[in-house]
Amino acid sequence: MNVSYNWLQNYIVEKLPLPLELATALTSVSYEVEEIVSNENDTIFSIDILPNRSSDSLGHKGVAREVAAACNLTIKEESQGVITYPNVSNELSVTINPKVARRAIKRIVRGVKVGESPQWLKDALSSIGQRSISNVVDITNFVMWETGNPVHAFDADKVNLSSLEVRFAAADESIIALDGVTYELNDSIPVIADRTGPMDVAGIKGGSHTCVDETTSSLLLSVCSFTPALIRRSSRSLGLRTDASKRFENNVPPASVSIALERLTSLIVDICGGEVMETVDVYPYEKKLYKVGINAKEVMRIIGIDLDNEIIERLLQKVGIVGEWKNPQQTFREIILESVGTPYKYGASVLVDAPAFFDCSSLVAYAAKEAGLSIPRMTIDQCAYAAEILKEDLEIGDLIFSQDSADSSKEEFVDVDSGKIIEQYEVKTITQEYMPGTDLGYGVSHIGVYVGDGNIVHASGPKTGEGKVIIEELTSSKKFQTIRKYGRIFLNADDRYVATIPYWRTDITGPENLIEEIARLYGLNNIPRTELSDFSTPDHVNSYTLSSLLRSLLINNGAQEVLTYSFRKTGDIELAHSLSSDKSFLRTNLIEGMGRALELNNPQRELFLNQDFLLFEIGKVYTSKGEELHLSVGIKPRKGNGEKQIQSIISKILESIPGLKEVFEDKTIENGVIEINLENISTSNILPEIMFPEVRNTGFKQFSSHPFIVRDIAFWATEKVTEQEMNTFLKEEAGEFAQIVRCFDTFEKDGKTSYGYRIIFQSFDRTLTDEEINPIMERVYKLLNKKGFEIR
Amino acid sequence: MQPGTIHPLNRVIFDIVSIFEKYGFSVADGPEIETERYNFDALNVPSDHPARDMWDTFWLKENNIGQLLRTHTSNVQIRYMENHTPPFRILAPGKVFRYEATDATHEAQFHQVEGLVVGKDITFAHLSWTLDTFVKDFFGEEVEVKLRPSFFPFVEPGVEVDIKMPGSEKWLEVLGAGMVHPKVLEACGIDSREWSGFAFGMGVDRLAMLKFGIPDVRLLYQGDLRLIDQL
Repeated sequence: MNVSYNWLQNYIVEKLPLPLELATALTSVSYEVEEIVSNENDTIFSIDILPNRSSDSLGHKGVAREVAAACNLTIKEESQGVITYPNVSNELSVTINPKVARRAIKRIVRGVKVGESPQWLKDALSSIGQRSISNVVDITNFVMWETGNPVHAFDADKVNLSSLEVRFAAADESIIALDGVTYELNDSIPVIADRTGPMDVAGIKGGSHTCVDETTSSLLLSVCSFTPALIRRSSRSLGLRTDASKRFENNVPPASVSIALERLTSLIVDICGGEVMETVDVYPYEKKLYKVGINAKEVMRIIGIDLDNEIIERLLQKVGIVGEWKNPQQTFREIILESVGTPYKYGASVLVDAPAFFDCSSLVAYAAKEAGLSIPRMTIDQCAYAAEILKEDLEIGDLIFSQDSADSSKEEFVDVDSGKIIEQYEVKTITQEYMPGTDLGYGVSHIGVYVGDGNIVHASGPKTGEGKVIIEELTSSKKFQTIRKYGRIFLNADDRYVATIPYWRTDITGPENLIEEIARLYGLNNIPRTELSDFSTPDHVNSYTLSSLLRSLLINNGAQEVLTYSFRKTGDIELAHSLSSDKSFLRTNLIEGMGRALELNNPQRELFLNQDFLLFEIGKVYTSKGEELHLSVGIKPRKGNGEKQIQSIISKILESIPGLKEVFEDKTIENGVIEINLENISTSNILPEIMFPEVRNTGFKQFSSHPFIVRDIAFWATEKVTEQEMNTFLKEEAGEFAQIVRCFDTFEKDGKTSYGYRIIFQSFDRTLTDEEINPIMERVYKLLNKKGFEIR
Repeated sequence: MQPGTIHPLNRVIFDIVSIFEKYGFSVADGPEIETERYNFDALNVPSDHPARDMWDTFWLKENNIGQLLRTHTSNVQIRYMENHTPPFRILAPGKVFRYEATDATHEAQFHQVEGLVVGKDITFAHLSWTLDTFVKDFFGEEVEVKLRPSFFPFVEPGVEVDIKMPGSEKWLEVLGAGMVHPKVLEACGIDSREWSGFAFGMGVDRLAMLKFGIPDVRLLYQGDLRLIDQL
């Protein structure tokens, strides 16, 4: 995201450090600043906001919070989002489908003047690459880039205000969006609509017929929090990804909606004038803020340093996470006892319904959360999570799990009037959330908390029990006739820091997230390193030892290893979407790739030391039978078909890996290539000491793709010269185009030595001609003669 | 006889394995054609979640082998954890695939080595030591190493390892790592209250390009001896 230095300054009390210093701090504590571009007025940071921070940091204010934490600065107090405008009209009506939106606020502002934006607003938007359109549109854009919450303004006179709906589209609906494109909608695409039809593809793009233009005088401001996964699916299916959809799919929290709306309203009223007439806020399931607890031991266990409680507290406060130290067992007990009498609600949510309503497991999950312990939500998972204790060790605050519905595995009680499930018993044996799939070997359906003196507190359903949280004697409770487990969740009495997570940090839902905050704020590079102590001898998987062994054998026998592509034009396994039509299947063999590699290298063989190059590849092939590891060996010699060379290398392989005899015997060499299946070939799991030849050159030297010219030269030398001297001499005299100077032959006769040299000329930018090379060679001949060598 | 040459990618993988062998890491493997569960779900990457955008995936048409081409070798970690009781230290080298247009630094197929350590008292301090030790062994003692926060759904905290070569001003990203997310351990039947661990991953192609100065990733998959014969 593009982030403006000037914008950031607006949200910070102190003066910001210089851009480079700010960027370095942000990169080491929060997220990476990839680029810094400064001009005379501002500096723009390009920041890579990662998926877990895209909920809070796709707006300048969110980034400013991190800047404050990273640079030890103070963030300016933000508006609380309290709606203060009284309703002076009564024309708005809004309904929402809770599957589409978690919260929607609509507000009417009348008497606005649409026109040009003030200079500061134009400048602010242009600094981050946004075009100015009109004051109203610019303000909505500005609010999104500030808060991270996309907002929209409709022309209130173009919509029917008394029939607004946030809902799924009907199968036959369509909309012309602001980009002029018509989108065909369906019943999985969310829309904001009035009685005449969709006004907007919800969370993705506005519609053109309800847009603000120069004649607009009344606005319908619309700020929502949509279901993230729904926006993601819809924007993908429409092929429409916008700045708004990107933010909504990353979870714009419901609490942000009123804050963004108030910011939007105050800017509209300030810049465009007008009067707020009416506001409707639909927020059916208001979630309370998350609470997550931690203690120093748990932090130590993951990051490896023992931090004082005060340091933990101070680090978390830097990012707005504030809490209190609590004795967990005492807190848990108190909440459980206080809950007695609370009405039962089947499926009561810990964040929405508690502490006004509970079911049996939500009571325990809620009390544990308040005591700073995140435990699973469902009875079966709580049962798996709790450490087993003996009945005689029962203490206040321990859990008791039972199966209270002996015969049937599932029983539902439905309210006749509403049709809703009001109570349900399901005997589960397999965990769903905690260590999912674990079979406990017994059925569990109910949970209660032991509160001492033989008494238990539990939430009892309305049909089979009292319909509220009750306290009763354990032995006489009809819900605890078949006890499955006595369990304990608080295993030590250490105080826990029970932290309230600010609404904007939707990514923090468990202790592991708090530990990450502590680690990064403490400084990842400040955590001392601890050596990984001794461990047993490696025991590699067979495919690795076998391939390594083959590789070593082949290479030590002169073969060179290639890797080729897994994609092909034809095959058994087809890609759903391929990069091109000749890459739409997976390879069923290695032969084809090997054939291509041999062809590719054939014209260049003069360049290589081993001109009868022998290649091999070890890799997977994919057929309808499955995936197999194969080996292919190929040769394309100057003379003959190469079968002898391959046979010789196979016998070398078989000396070391006799287990490959059968697979080799089954295969024949075709066009100089053989391919075998390496699956089910076992070798020793212990890899013998193998070495690969040292790297030939320290670095890769770019090669030319232009044709080369080969010249051989042979001469007698009376005095012994070293090959090294000769190489240097020829290389120098043959000039810049001499890419390779190689001695291919020497012999001695009558006290003289004969040298055969090959010089390969090649240019990086063009095709050389004989006319260019001949004079060079003439000169070399002359120089050799002069040195007393006799050209043969 | 003049010995042949190992492919630069397999040389790098061999070198990496040789370094980690000293600390008891064993090589493990797994399939390249995978199910959504092993490539994403068990790794705490839910469907319809923006984190999925971190991996452009090749999905497969209906077949009886699997749903997708693995986008990382993390599937090996999951498969290994499901079938082994900690403690263990493993490495998962192998080919992976991403649905993206190719250019000098991007290929639709490339190689990774991932590592996983799970034990009784494994902490971030071990992770930091291990990666520092590895990087210095691989690139040279004089290399500077720095960690910075990052995000991968399967680890928490998540970090990126940057290095600076002597004489260079530029920090280069070479590794991603982090403490294994408790949900990932639990999805594999390992109790996160008893065991902890760290995981890391690196792009072999990128390391080979850095180490040998290879300018274009695509050169690695042509079978072209003009590259292979040099190294």
